[in-house]
Amino acid sequence: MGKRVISNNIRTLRFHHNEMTQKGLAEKVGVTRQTIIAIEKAKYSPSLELAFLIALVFNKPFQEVFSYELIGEKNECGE
Amino acid sequence: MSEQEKNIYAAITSTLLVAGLYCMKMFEMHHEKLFSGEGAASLMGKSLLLLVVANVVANMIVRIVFSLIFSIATKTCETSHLDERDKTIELKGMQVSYMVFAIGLMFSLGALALGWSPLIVINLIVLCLILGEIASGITKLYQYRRGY
Repeated sequence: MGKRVISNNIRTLRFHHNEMTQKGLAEKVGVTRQTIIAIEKAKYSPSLELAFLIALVFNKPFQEVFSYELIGEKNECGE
Repeated sequence: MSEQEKNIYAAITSTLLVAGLYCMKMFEMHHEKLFSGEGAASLMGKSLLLLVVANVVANMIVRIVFSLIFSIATKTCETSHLDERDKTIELKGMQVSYMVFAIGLMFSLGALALGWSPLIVINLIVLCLILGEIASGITKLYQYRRGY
């Protein structure tokens, strides 16, 4: 069985929100810019509260911002 | 480099500085045979208290100096608060620190059981605390560098 990771579309969503900076997003959700960088690179999995806050900033449903993906192996649908 | 990383570098530097000075002073006192005799335990107590105070003061001074140097070098005045990721990294560092200290403490107690002088064992315990502090700093730096 492959490893599952929490991936996200934050980079794309920032781009579609007038090129919002990482610092700008960090200030809106109350974390440091380094934390946003780590989340974007999927190196840090945010708390549920922070993840919901990020989704709120982009005015998107949670599942459009974050996804739980299988890496390194084909998933159940064979994709 | 983030504010937290600067603070970790400052903490490691001050710990190494104070620990180095403490070790030098201890060797000096040991050679002067100050640790044998009636007042030895009291002298050790005073030295340890001084070590704690010196560590706190040195940490504050080094932190201020580091902040000034980085502010001048980068021409920014960055202040940041601790967020959830910082707190998680802090906890991981603390975990490593406790582990190092616990292992060291076991060895120190073993040394005491083997008949080593209690004063040397106290110094061994202090050394374990210092090693734990340094291990904690290195763990935190590693976590910050790799992104988590």
